[in-house]
Amino acid sequence: MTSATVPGRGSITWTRRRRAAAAVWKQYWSSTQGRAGLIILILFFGVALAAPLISPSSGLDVTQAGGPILHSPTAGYPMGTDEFGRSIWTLFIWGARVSLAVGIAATVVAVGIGTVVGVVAGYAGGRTEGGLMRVTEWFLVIPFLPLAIVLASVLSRSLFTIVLVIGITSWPGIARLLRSQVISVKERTFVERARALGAGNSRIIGRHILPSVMPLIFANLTLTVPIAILSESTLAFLGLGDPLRVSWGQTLQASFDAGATSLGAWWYYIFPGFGIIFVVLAFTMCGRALEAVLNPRLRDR
Amino acid sequence: MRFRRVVGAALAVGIMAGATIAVGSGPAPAASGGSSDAVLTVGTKQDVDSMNPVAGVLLSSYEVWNMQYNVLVNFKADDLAPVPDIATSWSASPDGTTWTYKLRTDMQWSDGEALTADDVVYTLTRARDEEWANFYPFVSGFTDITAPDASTVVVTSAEPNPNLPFIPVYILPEHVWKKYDKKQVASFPNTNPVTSGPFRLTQWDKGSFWEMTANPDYYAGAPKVGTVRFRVFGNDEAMAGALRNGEVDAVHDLNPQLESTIDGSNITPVEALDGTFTQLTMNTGSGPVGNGHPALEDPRVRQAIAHAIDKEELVSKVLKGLGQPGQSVGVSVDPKYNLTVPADKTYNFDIAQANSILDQAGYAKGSNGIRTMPDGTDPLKFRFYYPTSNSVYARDVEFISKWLDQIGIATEVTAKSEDELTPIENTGKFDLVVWSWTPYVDPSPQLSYLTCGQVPETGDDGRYNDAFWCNQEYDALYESQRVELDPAQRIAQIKEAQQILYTEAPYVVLYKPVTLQAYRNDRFTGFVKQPADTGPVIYSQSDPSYLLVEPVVSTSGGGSGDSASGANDSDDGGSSSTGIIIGLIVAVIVIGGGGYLIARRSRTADERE
Amino acid sequence: MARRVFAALLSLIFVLTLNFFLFRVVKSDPVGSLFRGRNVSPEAKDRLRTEFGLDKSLPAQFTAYMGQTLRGNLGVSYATRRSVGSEILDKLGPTLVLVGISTLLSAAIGVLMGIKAAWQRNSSFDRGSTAASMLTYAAPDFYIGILLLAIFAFWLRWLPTGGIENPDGGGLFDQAKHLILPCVTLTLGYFGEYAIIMRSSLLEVVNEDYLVTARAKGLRDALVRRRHAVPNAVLPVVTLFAINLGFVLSGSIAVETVFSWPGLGLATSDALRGPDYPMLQGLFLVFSGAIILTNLATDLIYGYLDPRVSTS
Repeated sequence: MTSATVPGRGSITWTRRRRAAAAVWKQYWSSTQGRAGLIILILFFGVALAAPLISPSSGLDVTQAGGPILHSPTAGYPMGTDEFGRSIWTLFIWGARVSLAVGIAATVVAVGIGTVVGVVAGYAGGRTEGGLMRVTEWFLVIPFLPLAIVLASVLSRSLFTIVLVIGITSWPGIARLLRSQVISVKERTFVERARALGAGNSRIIGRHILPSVMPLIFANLTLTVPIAILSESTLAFLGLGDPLRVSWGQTLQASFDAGATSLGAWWYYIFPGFGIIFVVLAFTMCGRALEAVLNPRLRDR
Repeated sequence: MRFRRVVGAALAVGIMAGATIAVGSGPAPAASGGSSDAVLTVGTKQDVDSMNPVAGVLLSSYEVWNMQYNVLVNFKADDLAPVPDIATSWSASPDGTTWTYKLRTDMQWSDGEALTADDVVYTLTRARDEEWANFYPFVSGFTDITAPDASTVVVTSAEPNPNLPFIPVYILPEHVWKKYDKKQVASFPNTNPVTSGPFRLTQWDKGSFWEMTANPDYYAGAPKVGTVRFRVFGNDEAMAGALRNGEVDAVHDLNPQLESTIDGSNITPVEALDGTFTQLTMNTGSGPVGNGHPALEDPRVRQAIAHAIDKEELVSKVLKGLGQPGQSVGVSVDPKYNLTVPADKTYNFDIAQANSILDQAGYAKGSNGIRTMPDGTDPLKFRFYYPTSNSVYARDVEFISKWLDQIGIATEVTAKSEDELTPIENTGKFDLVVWSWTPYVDPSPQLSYLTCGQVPETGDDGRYNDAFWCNQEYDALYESQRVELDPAQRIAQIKEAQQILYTEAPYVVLYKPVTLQAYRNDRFTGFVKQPADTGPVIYSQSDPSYLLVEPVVSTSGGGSGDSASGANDSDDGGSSSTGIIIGLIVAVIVIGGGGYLIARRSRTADERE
Repeated sequence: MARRVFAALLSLIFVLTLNFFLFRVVKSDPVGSLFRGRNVSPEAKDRLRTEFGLDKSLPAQFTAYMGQTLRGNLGVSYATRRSVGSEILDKLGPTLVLVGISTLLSAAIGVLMGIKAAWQRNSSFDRGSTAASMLTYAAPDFYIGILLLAIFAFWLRWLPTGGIENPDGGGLFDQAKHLILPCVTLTLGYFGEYAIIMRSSLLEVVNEDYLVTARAKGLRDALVRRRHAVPNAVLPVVTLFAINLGFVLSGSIAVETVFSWPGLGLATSDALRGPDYPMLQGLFLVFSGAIILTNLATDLIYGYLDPRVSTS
């Protein structure tokens, strides 16, 4: 019988975990939603990563824009041009990089803070938990968009600010979720056994608690990224983004400012907008499929 | 069950109906009076901030004061030359330090009191002694202000002042204002003002509109419109729509991008230049304060930068053609003071030339394409700021930073609010800034901002030389034009000073943006541009249009009738308390409904057991 | 109950403190920028700084701020120079109307759709409604607005392009026309949440014993659904609705901007241009305050109506 406190790659614990992961993957792939979502994501990420190869960044330079002003899609400009004569296809693929990157970065910040707060609160209990959860509740009371607006208006208008702002406003929900999960795991027998055998707190957290809540964190990640992407697009639309960096939200803001709706320049807002929709949909589908796998109760949906 | 559902549905319908009614109701302004029935409605985006000329600062406030007060000598419509207002004639002593004004004897305040020299002396003296912010620059140099008799005013200055006879101070009634001491005078609202001008303020609904009716006893004759009503709009599209529909007759400061939406033949657009110019400010490093990049101390670097900016491109791409490419610094609203640089001496857009200037000056490009100082250190990476107050600046900066890339200069761009940018400029912690200035008619203030004496010394002394530029020759010219009484000489000196500015290039003037105004030519006629050809028709220096405008006599009989009626509050008025009440009812219904559902749940649970 | 009120007060104080300090992060000089380019003497500027209270020490400014706010003085807007309080009061009505109606509609539509979807699980309706919910959820709410605006206002010209009424003079019908697009936008954006939650909640409940009993008793499907399943499944939806109520005020910022709807949302995005810090501060307070209050009210009502709800 292997002791739960013995680490090592070759140990039975890891083999068990690897087999479980493989089973999860097999189940995930069997869901149409999961498959479709993942394929769409791979497509978008691929295009975003390959942007420098597809269309050079000089296409973003307003001083070198050679195309016709606000022209509908043609052979040379598959998504039309903006009011400076730049190809919107170039804005689209380079904007994808920023929108996706900001979405992921903000999620990492939010999940990072939320995990630390939630795990510490759930594990420590007592006054630490009380204090941390009170702070969490205070932040939950504050509406996201106004707080984001206030923060973005007092800090400089940069991508870093956006990531920070989304991260700061999104962590409370995750913290709350993780805390309850940690509490339920904490009471399980294997943890008691580990403690009886003399394992310290960090070992228990690291070897037992974290791995147990990892699936929850992961599912949350997939559902938080689309929220972060939507938030970034809203903040950019309101003019809080970095106007010199192209993102899908920034392009939508530029199109609205240029009066694309009244001028009939549909290509200016259709493509970036549907880019957002497809990516968010894909993440949501992946997230739901993942949730169904990890939480069998939901599988009958 | 069914009864409850019916009630619920009825409530929902009721709420929706009530809500829309609530939104619709609101204050309606009183009907107009005046010598004629014509009502001129003007659309603006900016409300008056204060009716008190000592307290207010916004442009809309100046509009009101122009219409309800008088000055000694006013500006002519077409060329800003001096014309009589309160003063009928004026003369100067041979050395130009003492001016004597002869006043009209038939002017009256709206409460019947006569306007005399005592009011003039009182106003000018208080403005000087209490340093009234809006007027102090014009009166600070007066040593003596007296009224030898009821219709004469004598003003003596320490030095000759070429701006006289103009003294752009609104003359206020002594018998009213003497009740307010130094502290009170800056804060009392002045909403029932005693005035002498062609119009009187009759109503002000803050945030919504204000109304001025004609003064039938005005000394120059009653205005031809009986009422001028200003409506405040929250957004440009609504304002343009109101102009199209005839709800307003004229608009000021419409978003130029909407010009195509008002292109009916019954609308005359006015692409006005009000003297404002937008410039790239470079920190040239004078004075003890600040940490600007040393490269900007070299005029060749600044000249290279001037060559790297395509001002025509900025006007066409960023301003959509609504502006004039920049040249020399505009020191006055009056075009006669502004230098026109001959075409062969301008900084034409030439990236190759810019690069070669920098190469020859020794700023070689490093391995990463960014230039360094001649000794190889300190790469030319500039901190570039712009204010968030106008979205056009962001696009200017985008273009400029890309052009600078092409000549080996890297930029680190940051947007800041105007409030934050001011201390950054004052402490010199920047390299490049894009911002704007609006000059007066008197060129001295704008010229003074770039004198050595205006270079900040302590970082919070509020001085205006944001280019940290000091040039003794320029300073000498500034000092001499300041007291030069010969107009031709003065203009020559001013233009020479501007030539130095252009050559040394602490600023690169990007463009003069157009302010878009428009009016319904089928309803009113008589608008005049001040100054002629390029100036605005309203919101100008002295607003002569309001006295000259009259309704178009048309066969269709439209015009004044429509605009006098139907004045609901503007689209951003909405309702106030009724809306809240309705909203509260909605909230209560909703919460009650939720509670009801929960109660049902508990009961159902009981039924189960 | 007293404990809940006390907790709400603590939240309010936290919000006030956050509100104050957030805006002090900025190093700014509003007086200097106001008088840029005008020959105002340093003494006059200092006088104004005193008037704005900018010369006091930080703790003194904080006390002044707390005192003023609790007395209802939210400061003066930089842009319009009117009191922030009256600006907010003016714009509160249109927002309440827009968001109130949209929330009711989206809840009603979402709930009905969720019920039908759950009851006819895996039918084409179910799949269609889930797809529609996910699609509208994936689009940013302002983007739905842009699309509707482009189609119905600019292309088909059936509906107005913005504002709350025709500048020509409104009327009830005209205002209703202006309300349609922003209202539909918000409704489309939020119904999906209700539909999905109602559906899953109903599915969970459907298998519980008492329903089996009801069906065994021979009751008709529709009756079972209406009298037993739905009322018990509706609780999570009501919870969601109650939570959303508070966020209702701030939920329309982007949509109001798209349609130039003169409410608090448009005021917020207008205040960003500047930025008009006193307005932003006041709006932030109002938004957070609304949530704290509605949360408190919901808590208290729940506690009263359902004694099983724990008092933690």
